[in-house]
Amino acid sequence: MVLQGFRAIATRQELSEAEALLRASGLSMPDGIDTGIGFFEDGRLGGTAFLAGATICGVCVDAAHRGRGLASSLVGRILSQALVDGIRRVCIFTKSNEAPKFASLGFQLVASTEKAAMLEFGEPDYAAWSRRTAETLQQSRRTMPKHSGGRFGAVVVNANPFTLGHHALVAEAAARCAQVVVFVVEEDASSFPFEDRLELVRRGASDLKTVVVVPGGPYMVSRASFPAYFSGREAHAAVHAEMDARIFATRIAPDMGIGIRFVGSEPYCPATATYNEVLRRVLPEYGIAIEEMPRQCAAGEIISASEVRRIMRDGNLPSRIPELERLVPPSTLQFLLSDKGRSIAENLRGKTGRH
Amino acid sequence: MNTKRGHQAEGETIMGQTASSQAGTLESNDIFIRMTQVPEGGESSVNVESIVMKQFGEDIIKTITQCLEDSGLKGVNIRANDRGALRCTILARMEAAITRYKESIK
Repeated sequence: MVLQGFRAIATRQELSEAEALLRASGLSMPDGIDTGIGFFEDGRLGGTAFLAGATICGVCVDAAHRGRGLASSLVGRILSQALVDGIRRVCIFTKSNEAPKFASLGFQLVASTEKAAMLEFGEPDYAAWSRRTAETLQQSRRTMPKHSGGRFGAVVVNANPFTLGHHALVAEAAARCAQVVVFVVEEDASSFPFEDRLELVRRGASDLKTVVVVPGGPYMVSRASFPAYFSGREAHAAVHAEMDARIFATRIAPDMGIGIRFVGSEPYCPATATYNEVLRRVLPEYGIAIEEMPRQCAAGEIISASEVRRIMRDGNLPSRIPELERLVPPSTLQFLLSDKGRSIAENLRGKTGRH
Repeated sequence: MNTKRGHQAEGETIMGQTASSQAGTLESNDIFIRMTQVPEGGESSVNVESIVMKQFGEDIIKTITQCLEDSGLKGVNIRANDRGALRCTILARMEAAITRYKESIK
């Protein structure tokens, strides 16, 4: 008799078994997983599916068990688990040839590239986000200074935290468009929580009357959340950038009537430089202009949020105020010196990473 | 494994604030049903996706709508992903979803 069934992947032993299973299929263990479900046969792991935040990842079935519909069962189970946990919408990044399988389970395709596809299940879905965002834009257009036509521009920022560099980019965009939409990356993979980043952008850009700041939803895909799934043999940064660019070009820009996107040039970080390069290639394919702005400098140095975080990490913020004043607007500085800002600095001291 | 839960997109429909339930699976011959509360005063709605929509779509919608009416619940949004469930399966899944939904109100 063969004993088989589905249950949570719980022990360290099972986790390392899962890692071996994924590795055998050329996949790596996803980061930041919250739950995992496995298919076990006689105590041996034959298939896996994981949930990291609201993303399903690490879906893999051992070669010996394929063709039995196990992947669907695993995905269905992890999905139920997510819904029970109160996550009403989940997404999955997969290879584009696997997308139809998930579509047949009821997942909706958000966008796809040659290599990858992003699908989602549940609500609020893309349609809901897009409707709400379009409404916000409509409303704000009514209260904006009258303009004589012209196109709508977009800037996407993580703003971790909002700096004078961000401000300069948004201001330049505003000077050249009838309205500028600033999408704030919603993924909580940064030192500053999303709600605070959004608020800092809103306050920091409040002097620009034709600028609307909106949450980016799960559709401004952050690199941190994009699964290392694709890192095995393909260049992770390029696949990620392509996905994000296609979502923007095929869904968001047409739905919001955006004709031009502004990005800051990137002299240091190779991943961001790749990202800008991909945007420059993809957006014009869909008739969207792209403008790369030189980065704003202070005291001969390029202003960057990572520099701000470095100063926070060093500690003793009040003594660094003159330095910070050259990097961030007063609203951000005020936040950095608040209790919340202090506790973020505290956390930063505990780690060293890009985010 | 850490225990951090995913960030809820758009933040308004977090568990506990609105009633909700689910039943069934996405396996072949089953149906996956999710029920959520419609905001204040909204009408009930039934949304069905099925691999046999052409052949049995109307029947499935009728069966689900009937269950909902019999339950006496108002202002519920039902979304069903059908993978070829028989009528008896749909009835069983609806009963489970409705019972759980009522429990989630308490």
